[in-house]
Amino acid sequence: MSEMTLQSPLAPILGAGPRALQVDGHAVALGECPLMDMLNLRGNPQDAAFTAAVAAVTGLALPLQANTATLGAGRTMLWLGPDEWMLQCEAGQAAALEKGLRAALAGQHFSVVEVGHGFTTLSVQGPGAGALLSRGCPLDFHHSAFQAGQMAQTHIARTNAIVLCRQTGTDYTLTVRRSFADYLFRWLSAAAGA
Amino acid sequence: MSGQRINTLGERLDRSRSLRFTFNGRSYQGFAGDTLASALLAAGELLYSRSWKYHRPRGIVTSGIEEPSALVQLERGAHTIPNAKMPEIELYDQLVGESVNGWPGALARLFSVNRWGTPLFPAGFYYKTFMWPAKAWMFYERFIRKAGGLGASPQVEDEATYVHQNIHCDVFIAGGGVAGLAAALAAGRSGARVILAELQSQLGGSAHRQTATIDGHSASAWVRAAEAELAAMPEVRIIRRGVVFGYHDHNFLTVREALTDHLPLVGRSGFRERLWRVRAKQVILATGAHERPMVFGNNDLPGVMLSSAIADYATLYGVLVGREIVLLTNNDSAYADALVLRQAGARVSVVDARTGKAPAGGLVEQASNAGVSVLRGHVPVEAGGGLAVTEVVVATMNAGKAGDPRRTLPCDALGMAGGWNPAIHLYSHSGGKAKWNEAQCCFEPGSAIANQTIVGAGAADFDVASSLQSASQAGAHAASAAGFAAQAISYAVIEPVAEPITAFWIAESGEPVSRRAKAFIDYQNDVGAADIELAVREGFESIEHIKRYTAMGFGTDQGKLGNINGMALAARALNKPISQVGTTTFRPNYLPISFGTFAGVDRGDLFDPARHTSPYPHHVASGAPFEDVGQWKRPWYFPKPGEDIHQAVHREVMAVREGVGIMDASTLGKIDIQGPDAAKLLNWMYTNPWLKLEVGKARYGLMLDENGMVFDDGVTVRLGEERFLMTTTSGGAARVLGWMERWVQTEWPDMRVYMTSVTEQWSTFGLVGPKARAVLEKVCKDVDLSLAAFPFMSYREGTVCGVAARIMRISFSGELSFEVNVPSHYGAAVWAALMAAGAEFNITLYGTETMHVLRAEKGYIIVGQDTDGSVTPHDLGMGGMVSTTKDFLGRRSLTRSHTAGPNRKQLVGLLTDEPSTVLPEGAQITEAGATTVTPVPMLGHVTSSYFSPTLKRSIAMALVRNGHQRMGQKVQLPLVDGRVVSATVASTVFYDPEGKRHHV
Repeated sequence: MSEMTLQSPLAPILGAGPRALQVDGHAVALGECPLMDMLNLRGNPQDAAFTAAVAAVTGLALPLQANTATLGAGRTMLWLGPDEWMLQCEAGQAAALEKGLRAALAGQHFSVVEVGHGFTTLSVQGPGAGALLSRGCPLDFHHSAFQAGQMAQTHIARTNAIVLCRQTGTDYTLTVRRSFADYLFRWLSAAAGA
Repeated sequence: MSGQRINTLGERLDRSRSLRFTFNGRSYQGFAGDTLASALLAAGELLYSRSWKYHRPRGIVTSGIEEPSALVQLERGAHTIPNAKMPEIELYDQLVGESVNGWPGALARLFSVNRWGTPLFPAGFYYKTFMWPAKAWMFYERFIRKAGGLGASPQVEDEATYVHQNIHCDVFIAGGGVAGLAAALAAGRSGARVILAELQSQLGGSAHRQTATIDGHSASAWVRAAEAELAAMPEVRIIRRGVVFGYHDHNFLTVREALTDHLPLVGRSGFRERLWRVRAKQVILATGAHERPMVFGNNDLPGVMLSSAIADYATLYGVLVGREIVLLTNNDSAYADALVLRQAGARVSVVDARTGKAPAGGLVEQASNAGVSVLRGHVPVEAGGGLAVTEVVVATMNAGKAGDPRRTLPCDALGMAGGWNPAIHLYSHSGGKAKWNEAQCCFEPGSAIANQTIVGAGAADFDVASSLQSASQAGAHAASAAGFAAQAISYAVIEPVAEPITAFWIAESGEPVSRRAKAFIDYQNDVGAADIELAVREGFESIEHIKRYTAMGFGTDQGKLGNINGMALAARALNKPISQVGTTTFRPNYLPISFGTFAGVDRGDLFDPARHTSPYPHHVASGAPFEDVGQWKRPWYFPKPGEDIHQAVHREVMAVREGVGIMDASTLGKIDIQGPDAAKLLNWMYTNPWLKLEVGKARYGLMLDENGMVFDDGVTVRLGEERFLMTTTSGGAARVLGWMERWVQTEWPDMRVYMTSVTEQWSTFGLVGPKARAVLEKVCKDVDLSLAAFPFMSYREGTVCGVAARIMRISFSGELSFEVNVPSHYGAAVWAALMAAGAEFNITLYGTETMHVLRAEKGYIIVGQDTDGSVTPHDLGMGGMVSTTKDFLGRRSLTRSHTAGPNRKQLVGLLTDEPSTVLPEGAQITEAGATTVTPVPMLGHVTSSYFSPTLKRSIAMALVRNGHQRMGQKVQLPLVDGRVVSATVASTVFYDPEGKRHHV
């Protein structure tokens, strides 16, 4: 319907692809996973009807343990609270997923809100990724402490961020409110000495 | 005293790499591995500064971070570092330094008159003298600071960059000496994550001074082997040049790692310093000890140094500071120093306060055998010399008294070995209380805090064998406590038989201290033994008070060198044991830390996030200045070439009133509220009723806090039977969401409602003005935009510029207005498309300033500007919005006697008699006419004030006592510039009071 262009918050600076950085001699690629769709989902995880309906529609088990995520093909379900999750998926899928969830959850008390335009996701990859993040975040990024599938709602420098470990030690995503993306990108670049 | 190089010693030197540097304008040469201090000593330099108060000549005293006298202004311009300590500066090529306390030239005698004017400068001199008259201090201070001569603060911005890094570990070890390394080995072998921080560039601590052998190797060789083993452990990190400067609660420690200071200026790249923020499960303090000077007359002469420092300069840097060296001591360590200096070729005498015969197999015996002359049972009384020490007078100890005969020993360097003070600073930071160890004559750590162990000399354990054993056990224990299987390591140590230390604080010669030659405790602050006695005579008894009165320990070494002597002499003057006088509290930072280290990356435009809305690039291209609204950058106004803010705002306002304007309102807070109880929640949050709002309709609401005071406002739309979209003020979004969550989670857990922030999901653009509908009709074909189909305060979903949009007919200007919300990734494109569509109507960009003027013309409040947390809806004249038939948050408080009582400040309009006079916001309001009452009673203040282009006159809003009863009355406003402006109280609605313009 639209000839309007979608523009991710970091498109103006990351048009040429991820930025290559060095952290203590280790490579880090700092990029953006632009224009992902995201849904905020609320409901009662003690209600099997709720968890089953969500799993059926999204194909992902709701993570019920705090600070964990379910990683699926092109889709991630992040734990945000005891009754709150964030579903990240490929662009263009949110509307259909929301519709599916609303249909499957009809009659239950729940909430689904599309939020993907309010956020963007930075990717931090490479052997120096944890060290770079630790320059702005007090979490323990050691491979024994923060592994694939673990996540945290924390801060990096002065920005709130949802930090997800996709691959232990080398692959992280940072989901931040869109208005903070430019600051966070420049901050991380500066923290790598670039 | 005149230092010179010796080729047989100098383990840190690389003599193949010669370095040039400049000090006080003169050129020098040193070697790689030198410190600035060692290179200058090697060049024969003697005099480095003049003292703070008395301008006495001072030389280098120490070989470490406790140096009080040899301070340097290192480098110039953007790289300058004031008050750097010469012994801690690793020499690099082309270093440039100036002595700090040298003004007006270290050798000039301009101020040396103070040496003979000692009675003029007693303790508390500055408190007593320069405090009156108070205003004269400004004059005195300039002179005193200059003459005192601490370093010059940088005049240009530091070009170096700094970074922080958080790190976690199982075992953190402060100190890389023998004890620290033993702990690291025991912990590291278990696989635990170990961090060891050592402030020097090299590990080993005092190993080079130890005569003990460990497993058959010298202590230094053992250190190298330990270092190699640790380097091979993947989970062990050694931070060299890393000073642990703070030890905070819960085993959180801060370490400054110097990364580039040892490199030539031109070769530096990357961060200058890294601040490690360490969180450790277990902490082992292996911080070692500082040698104590001795208190005797003229103990500040150049050439009087710590005994260990004289040995260090020889062993590490191949510099012999004298040929005829006397070491004064009360313990064994001076003999190890004597052995080194003998080996270096000096004639060495040791004057030992201890009486009787030394034990066989001890260091005294070894030194005697090596040709060191030993004079037991003698203590120093005073040194002599002009610009350098040439002799020392010692007295014979007899039944605890220092008496005759006295002897004068010639010397060109004089070492002081007064015992060792455990470096308990970090222990003290962590909350530990020091206790006095009578046997070792030092303060040592009391009981350890949780998950902390103290080992080695830092725990007053000066014995290599037991230090190694306890450190290894501590390392194993710490790793075990962190969940690893660890075992202590046994070491075979052979060391000399120890002879106990004897206390020596000052020669008990019977003479009053004040009559003796000046004997210094704190060299940098020129605090002498007599000053401590004076403080006690003047009634100070607490060591904390004595410290502050005398300024002992206030210098850049923070009392590391002299404070314990000061405490002992205070105890002597108070006639109490030292254990009852106690020690002062050490607080972070252990060493001076540069501001840049604390700032890290957070400086300049990274000091705080700048939040941008989706059309931000368009705003930048339009040349708008930005206004900070919280962290948001909002376009302030959009000047055409040649326009100032007034002209631009005038044009923008008139365009909105007569044509069409567009503004970016994306920062408005937006909260999606879903659930069967959503309407019920809103009914509690807002003062007006919400249960019956129709789907597709919008309503304005006021939110009160528990005290009944307005804290946010906004328009909320009913999207569906069980779904609302609430808007909040830009600055209040997070607070409102938190407020609602708090009530739902803590008070009404049965309420079935969920809230989600969508502030940034939607970019919000206001199309405002009589021609707004014409613009929107061009780009929105699937919504009937007519008044009849889409009336004021209603909501439609449709397609705008090809994008699914939410459109609200609400107005913050009093004009016809459509607020278009589109998903933010489309925001930039839709903004451009709306501009293109509006071009034929001369659509005008407007910013926050015009928004403020437009709303003020209509009397619309801004929460936080026209309210301040003490204003009720009734005070605002909005009592009609307060329901009398339902309950809501804050309702009960509105009936409090004061809140419901008379004489409240109320929001009114003000019209100045002179229409062109724009009142300053914040101007105070008084009754009209002359008053004889002082102080003049204040009626209130101006909250908002503008020149209204629409009305062609100034308008203002103000909180005025009983303002609603003063309509039409005069008030006056005395301004800061002396003018008194007269104004009339009026309605806050200055324009279109009937509201006809937006119902179109």
